[in-house]
Amino acid sequence: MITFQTVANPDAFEVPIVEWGALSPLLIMALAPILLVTVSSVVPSFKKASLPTVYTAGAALLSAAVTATLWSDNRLLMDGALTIDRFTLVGWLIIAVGVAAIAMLLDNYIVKQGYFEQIIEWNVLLMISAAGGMIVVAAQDLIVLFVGIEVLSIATYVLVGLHLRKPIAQEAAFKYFILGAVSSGVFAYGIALVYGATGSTYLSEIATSGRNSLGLNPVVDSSLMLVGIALMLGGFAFKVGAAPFHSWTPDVYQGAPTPITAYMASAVKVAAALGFARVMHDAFGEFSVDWQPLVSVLAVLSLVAGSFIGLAQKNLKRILAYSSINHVGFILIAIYALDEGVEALLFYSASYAFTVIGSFGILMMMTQTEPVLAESDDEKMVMIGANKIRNLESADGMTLDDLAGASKRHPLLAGLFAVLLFSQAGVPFTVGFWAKLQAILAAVSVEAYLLAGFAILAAVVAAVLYLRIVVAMYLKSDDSEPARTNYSKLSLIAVVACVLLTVGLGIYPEPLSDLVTNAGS
Amino acid sequence: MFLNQFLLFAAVLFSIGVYGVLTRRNGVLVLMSIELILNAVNINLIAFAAYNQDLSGQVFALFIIAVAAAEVGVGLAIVLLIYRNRRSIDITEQNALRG
Amino acid sequence: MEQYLPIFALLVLAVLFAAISFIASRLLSPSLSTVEKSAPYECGIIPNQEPSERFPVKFYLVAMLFVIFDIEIIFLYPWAVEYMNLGAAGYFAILLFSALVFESFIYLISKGALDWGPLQLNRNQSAIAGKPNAFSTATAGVRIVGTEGRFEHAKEVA
Repeated sequence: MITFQTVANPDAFEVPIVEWGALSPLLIMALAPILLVTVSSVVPSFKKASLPTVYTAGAALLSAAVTATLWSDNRLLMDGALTIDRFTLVGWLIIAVGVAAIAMLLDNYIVKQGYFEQIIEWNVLLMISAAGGMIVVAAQDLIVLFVGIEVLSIATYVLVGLHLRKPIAQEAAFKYFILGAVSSGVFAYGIALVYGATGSTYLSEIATSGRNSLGLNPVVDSSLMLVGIALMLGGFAFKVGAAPFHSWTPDVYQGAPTPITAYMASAVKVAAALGFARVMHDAFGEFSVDWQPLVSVLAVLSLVAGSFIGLAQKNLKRILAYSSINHVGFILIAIYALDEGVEALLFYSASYAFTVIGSFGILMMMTQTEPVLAESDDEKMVMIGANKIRNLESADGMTLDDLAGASKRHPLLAGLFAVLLFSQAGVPFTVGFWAKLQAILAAVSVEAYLLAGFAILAAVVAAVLYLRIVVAMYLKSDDSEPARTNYSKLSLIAVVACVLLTVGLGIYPEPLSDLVTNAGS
Repeated sequence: MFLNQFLLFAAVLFSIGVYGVLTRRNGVLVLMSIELILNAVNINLIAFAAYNQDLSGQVFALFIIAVAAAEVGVGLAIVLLIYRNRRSIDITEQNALRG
Repeated sequence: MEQYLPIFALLVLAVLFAAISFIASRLLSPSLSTVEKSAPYECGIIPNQEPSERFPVKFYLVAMLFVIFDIEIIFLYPWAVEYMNLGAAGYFAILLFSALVFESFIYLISKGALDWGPLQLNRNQSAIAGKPNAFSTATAGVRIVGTEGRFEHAKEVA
């Protein structure tokens, strides 16, 4: 017979202290979407034009502002499950500001696509996903990290496929979902093995459990640990889109709505990269001899695949997708360099995030057209039911050839785009130059000269990639007239802010480098 | 019972799940294979939690169950959308994006 | 990189094993394949498309509702077992958790997940009218049936 006995024992459980103040940036980002969805469910008139967008951008900027007030904080929160330090705060700042910019781009996209009935869902999912990203950056415990990664990813799967009238968006969502779910499974399997080897899920306890001080059988436990690290590395490599786990990136980036592509390439990638660095440094620092070769191989493959395969592409969104794989190579170099690379990692992540948001934003604004019934057979037509309808967002099918004469059709946008592309190529007087320089210097400081050499080679090849786009815009001229501008002011503000940051920090990078100093300690 | 029996079982389950994801053409069966992978993780976690006399593995298993449910909910929604647009859930027909 | 030597060795072995068994099965197995033998049925109609799969989706949102509350129990149960020890903090934590779960319920109701029958029909009709979707023409809200895989035909009719 089974009997249940519950004995009240108040001493057995100690209530952890919740540091509301230090958690507030995360709480704002997590509770704002819940408030938004509740209010808009009860009051349908909340779906007024741009109101949800202003709400989202405001909440994200508030979160960023609160993050800035916490600047000198450095402690563990929530009984050691989260940590707040310079590394976390820079990550939170990148994600929060990125979400604000993407909300502004999304507003333009949703309105121009005639897709207003779902504006709440886009904004809510964007903020929830960003909250997941903020958890990933701050996580000090593998359970929290996993939940954060899943919140980040699952909301992004939905965002990719949320455009119900675009079949390729659904295909992209399905591909991303399947591969993402499997990589989450692999990642969780890795966590399970690491937990088995060390008996703890806290990064600090995993680190101190040591290489050979485990259990009865050091050989078995150590091999469990190594397999676990390898599986977790594979999961992270997928999430950041590092070669050879990159095959989903071009497809998903092409099929996803362009603002969401910008989000995936910036905030999602930065959150995953920072979580990656945190776990590798804090938990597996002892095993760096074992994982560093793997990371260096991933870095070299990403650099090579990103730049060389990118050269073979015609579609603009795919070119930018491969360029983001190339950027991941530099980020991985910074992760490889351990403590020497932390500042380079944060600098690169920050500069890369707003450059890429601006680039995809301009691509979206250049190609925004009204949905019209198609009259002729064209590659950019999609079948919707019995009708051929012009692809609602032609950025998906835009190739280098379509850019011919863009400098005349959209003089302002082409100029801004060129600046952002120069920054991605690492041209001096743009922030991309300093970012690449720091990553290469980090590799040199840990005497990884081969890695630094590959980085320089890949940077040169990738420069060709970006120059081709600029050449297509400016030199392949045709007799185009200036086109009617068809984008909202909000998205222009977001893109111009990105360009100003790129140029401003390129000429005077001290503010950003001050921001990231002492992040390693 | 030994720990390695559970680990072996979980590894086999994980491999079956990965094999299913790679070979199944039906979208719903791919989702089921993903469930197998996550359940293999759960078995590992519970086995280690019992072995280490530690509760955090069991807590993690609960979170993985919740996450798996959310994941499958989203996955089914995506499959449903694709079915509505294409009248088929054969994943090999999802080949518009390539380059 | 020396520590990765065993992995490379294992990789080579795995590839060799796969290659050898592949070649061996080619060489050793009798290959008496004929057209009749490789057909799905030796007699009868040759199927030219995949058999239709059962895919009932009517109550998808209801199923999602079920999943939400199903999962809530996973976290409620451990709390219920230990609620004496967890005390007030546990109580308020689980209250917050329940509030968040029921929040999704509000959203689902506003989306009409619980209006089935005539109510939902009305809602769908008004949603379809006036905008093109996958199974209506772009100009009229008329639903076209029986056009699976036959877009061109449907276009002519329309």
